[in-house]
Amino acid sequence: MSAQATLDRDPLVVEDLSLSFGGIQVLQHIALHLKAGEITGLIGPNGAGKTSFFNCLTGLYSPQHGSIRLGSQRLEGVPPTGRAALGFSRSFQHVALCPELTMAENVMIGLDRQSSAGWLDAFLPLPGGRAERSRNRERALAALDRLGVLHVADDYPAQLPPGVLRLAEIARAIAGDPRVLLLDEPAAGLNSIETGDLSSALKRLRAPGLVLVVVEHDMDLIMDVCDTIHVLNVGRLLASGSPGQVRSNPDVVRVYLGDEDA
Amino acid sequence: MSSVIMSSNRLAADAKPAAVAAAPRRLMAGAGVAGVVVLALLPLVAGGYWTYTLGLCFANAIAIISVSFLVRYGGEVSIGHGVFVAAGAYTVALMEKYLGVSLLASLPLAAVSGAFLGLLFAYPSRYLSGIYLAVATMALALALPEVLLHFSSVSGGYEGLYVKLDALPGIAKETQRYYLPLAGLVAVALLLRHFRRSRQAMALLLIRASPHAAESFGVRRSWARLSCMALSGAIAAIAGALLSFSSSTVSPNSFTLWTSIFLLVGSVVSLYSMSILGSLLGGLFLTLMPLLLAGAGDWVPILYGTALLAVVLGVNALPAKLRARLHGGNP
Repeated sequence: MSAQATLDRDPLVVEDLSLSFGGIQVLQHIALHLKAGEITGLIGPNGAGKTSFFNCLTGLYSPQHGSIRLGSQRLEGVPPTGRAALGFSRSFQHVALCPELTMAENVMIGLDRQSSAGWLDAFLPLPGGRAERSRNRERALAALDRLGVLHVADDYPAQLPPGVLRLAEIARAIAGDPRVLLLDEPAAGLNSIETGDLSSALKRLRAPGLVLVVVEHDMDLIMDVCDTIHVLNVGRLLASGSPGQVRSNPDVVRVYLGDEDA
Repeated sequence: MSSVIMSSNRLAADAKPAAVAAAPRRLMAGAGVAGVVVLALLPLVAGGYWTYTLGLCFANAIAIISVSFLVRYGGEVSIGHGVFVAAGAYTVALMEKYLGVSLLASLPLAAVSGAFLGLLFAYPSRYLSGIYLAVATMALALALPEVLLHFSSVSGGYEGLYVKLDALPGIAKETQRYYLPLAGLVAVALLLRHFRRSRQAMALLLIRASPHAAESFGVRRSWARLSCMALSGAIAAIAGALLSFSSSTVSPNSFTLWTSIFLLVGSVVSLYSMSILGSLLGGLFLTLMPLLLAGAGDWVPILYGTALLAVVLGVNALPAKLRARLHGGNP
């Protein structure tokens, strides 16, 4: 087995992470071990700090305390672009596609960090640039196909319903074969059929070298696809465990899941 | 994780809309080629006055494209682009004065000077945006005439410099003044058409729409700003070089704050288009409207404003598909 293959199974380790804005503590002493090859769920009420946690992982926010490691690689001081180069990829709570690009082109941006076409290729139809663009389009179409939305490849975002846009955003996140994939509420705006398709697609994304973390409010989806679930509440880690353990945790039931008998 | 699990043939077959959309695209491309042919044949029937005016109009259309480029790819407005146009114009004039070389030799250097000036301005202003960046560009435009007059021994002062050398020896000057700006406009439009499909263009468009998303995919904001200003400056400088050749002269009066404001007006009239047709609409407005209103005396500003409103409202009332075509094929 090559060194790269070994490296690619590295976990994402978060130790004692704390983030505050002014006097408001958004995350407090979070410690998580996110394993490659698993699907990890991150749940909690609104304002629990889930998206802020994602933003810390991708470098958009700089935590005041604690550390994040991908294997042995420490990520303090590594900007978002540097983390993208390390293999971090994500989707967003609010769809962040470019309205002037077709869906295929939006997905192709997920391959930008792996592309090498230069400025001359940008302005002139040189063979190298054309070949790379053709390869990237093919990979983008394959990613759209994995999410079941290949038929919208040449449509613009304004022409499509929110559920399809969300799936295309996930396609953009997976197009570049990431090592860490962070999906922020991927089922928001999807109908029940689309959510079922998403659930199947997420299970297919599971890969030995991929740290896959899903923030989601749809408990059926989370319980169905995740191997491990972490629960955040007002910036603190409330519970961790398998779906069964989390479902039966009285603290989680009290602050988030709710008691059906109540 | 291996994501490419489909054969390219099946993917190509599934993505049918591209093939369906290709037919009208080919039709529009055919219409575009026909339009360029008509422009190429125009000097055979039009008089010297019109070929001269249209030559200026083509160069102005390129300058308008440079402003539209910044709006479309950078999401920013400039009211100082006359400075980059002036950089190209003075590069041509100075290279003729000191080195004795003609437009064809000095044009590439003019583009480089515009790009360099764009970078020089973009670096310190890379964290400015919106109205703050617009005001900063305005400061450039206000300073330019004074700077040119300060270095009058080089720039020629109020009188400016002349551009007399033929670019294509043996061909009538009037012919060159028409065809070189036309060739420049077609070349710039074609290059930008190809650019739109590049990874750099897609990255610029995404970072304008969603900076956080773009950064998460490895696109840096400072790279985007520097690239946009450099490319926009280079296009503006190419326009300036052709403008100086077509008008045979450069002087500080040609590059005042009003020059920059009118370039922005032309960009608005063209709906920030980077197509030949759209930019020509802006170029025609910029070049012909003052000539048409020349006899109106004190009424000129009012009539100009009315004409501007009429054009902008009229173009916005066009069907969405036609407007998309003016835009250069994108919604």
